[in-house]
Amino acid sequence: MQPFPEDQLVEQARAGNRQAFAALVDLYWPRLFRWLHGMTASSHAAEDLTQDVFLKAWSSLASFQGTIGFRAWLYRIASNALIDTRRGPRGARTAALPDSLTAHDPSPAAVAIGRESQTLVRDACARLPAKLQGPLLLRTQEEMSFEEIAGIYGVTEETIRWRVFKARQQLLNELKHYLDGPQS
Amino acid sequence: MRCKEAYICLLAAQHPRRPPAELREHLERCAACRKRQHRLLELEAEIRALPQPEETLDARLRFQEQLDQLPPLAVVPAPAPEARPRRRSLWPFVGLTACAMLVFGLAWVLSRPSGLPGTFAIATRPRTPGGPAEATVARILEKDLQLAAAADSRQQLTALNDIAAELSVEVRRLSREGPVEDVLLVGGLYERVVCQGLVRRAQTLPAAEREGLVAELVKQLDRSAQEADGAVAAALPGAADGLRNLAIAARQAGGSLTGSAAPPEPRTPAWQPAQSGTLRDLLGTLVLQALLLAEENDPLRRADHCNAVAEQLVQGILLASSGGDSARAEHLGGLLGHVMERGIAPNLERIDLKNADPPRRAEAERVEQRTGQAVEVLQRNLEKAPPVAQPALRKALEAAAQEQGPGQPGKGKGKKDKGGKGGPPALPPGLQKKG
Repeated sequence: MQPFPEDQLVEQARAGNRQAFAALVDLYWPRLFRWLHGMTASSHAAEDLTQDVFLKAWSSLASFQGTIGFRAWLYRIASNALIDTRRGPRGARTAALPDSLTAHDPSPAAVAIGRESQTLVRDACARLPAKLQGPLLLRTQEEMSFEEIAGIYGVTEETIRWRVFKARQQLLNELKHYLDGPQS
Repeated sequence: MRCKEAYICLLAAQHPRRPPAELREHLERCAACRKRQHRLLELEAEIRALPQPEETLDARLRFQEQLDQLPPLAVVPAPAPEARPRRRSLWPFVGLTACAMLVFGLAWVLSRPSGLPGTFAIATRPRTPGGPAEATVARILEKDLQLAAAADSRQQLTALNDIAAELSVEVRRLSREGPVEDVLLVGGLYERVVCQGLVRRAQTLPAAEREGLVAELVKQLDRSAQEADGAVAAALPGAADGLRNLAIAARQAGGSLTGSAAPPEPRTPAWQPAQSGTLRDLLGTLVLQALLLAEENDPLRRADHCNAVAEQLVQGILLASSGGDSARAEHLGGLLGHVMERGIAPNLERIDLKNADPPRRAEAERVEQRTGQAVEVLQRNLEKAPPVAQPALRKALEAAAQEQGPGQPGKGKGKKDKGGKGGPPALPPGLQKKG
């Protein structure tokens, strides 16, 4: 079940209230941007896609029936936009992750170590196939249930369980030394 | 269960921290599998802790501006998006949008009074009393929650900048629509956010990050100052001073950020919101707590600042329900749930009580108790409230209780707490006693 404020905001937005929609944009922009950034490995692409998603959401809002919940509906649009992007002129996802998260503060050792581990984890996530990475990030970062993720991808809950299983398995294998390191 | 089965079960679990009973039994007996579980939890914690990627500060604002130019919904009927494996062309969307814009552009040109500038967005926006202010409160609350989870100065600055932008818009709205006294109050909040929040936080940025971000902030401050100046002409009598103060504060803060002026001081006297539950006091509380949250990295204190927000929301719920306003009580109940779920509970979970000294433990206990009291007040009031207020209070409690994290029992689409119908609604996370 969707948490409360969305329900009212969605109702108002469906009635054409731009301010309510603007509130929804504010609620979901950072999360959607984060997920799309994880999926595209590019701030620019993620920002363009986030904007596309909300444009499409606004134009389709009148037909939103609430059968899968607004959040899942929004991520479904995002997931479709991602498919379009990968097949379209904006091209395939890049393997390496950028730029802004690592390039700011070169000096203190502690920061450097923290960033190194973040880079390891982020790069390992980025190497996952998209169909495993998407559900994993939705489960872990967005804390969505398997059921909700299944609604986004239009597959069964068991399919999502399997994909998350494979993603976790692959990451644990890749990061074994890093995860074991501090204890051993 | 053998180790191999246990491992599969663990990797496929929705909540590896709270595995199914059979797996839990195995884990209690098997140290190797416990280590695997620990490793998985560590991995997921690392993924969760990945920093929020940088977004252009004004990307969202640009989009919001663009939103006002889009045709209204009824003109663009589009099919509900379906999950699909194939690419769909964007051309039909572009075509429909263009047609709709043309139709509405013509309609607007034909309908606007001659000689007066037309305002497309305002003309098509339904006016509901209290609506815009409520939406502003909801958006600023979201920023408070981001501050409660912020990992670094950059995130804190971004959230403060968003709050300043929201307040700037709200001051201009109030200057046109009133009440006039609120222009000064909300303008004063803006001054504090830019003079105390933005300028101070920017000083904590590493030099390499500072330059780019400060340029964005200064641009935003300039824009706010210009918009406030531009709004003076159309302001209600007595509202112009608030706009001028806002513009001065924005320019001084911008000057201070670029190093060309001394750190600014707010011109409007400090205002301490009352614990009344009115929208104005709620907004004041949210902004003042945001300033405190932006300065705070201790999860315990962060949780306590969120408590102050929760208490103001509880007052708002009681106020709304005493007037039988179910919709508002429910709305505030939902916000309360968000504060519990995303502001208080995660910060309380981050506290390392095992290695804490007795004073800190005592402080943690006090903060947890304070959190519990907020919803207990609602529950006590539910029992003795007059019949007219009961539905609103019940809705507020339900809305708060529905704000459960994925780890909480009963989370998920269509799965309500089973005890919710007969007795009082379940407590939101953060209020539930830890085993």
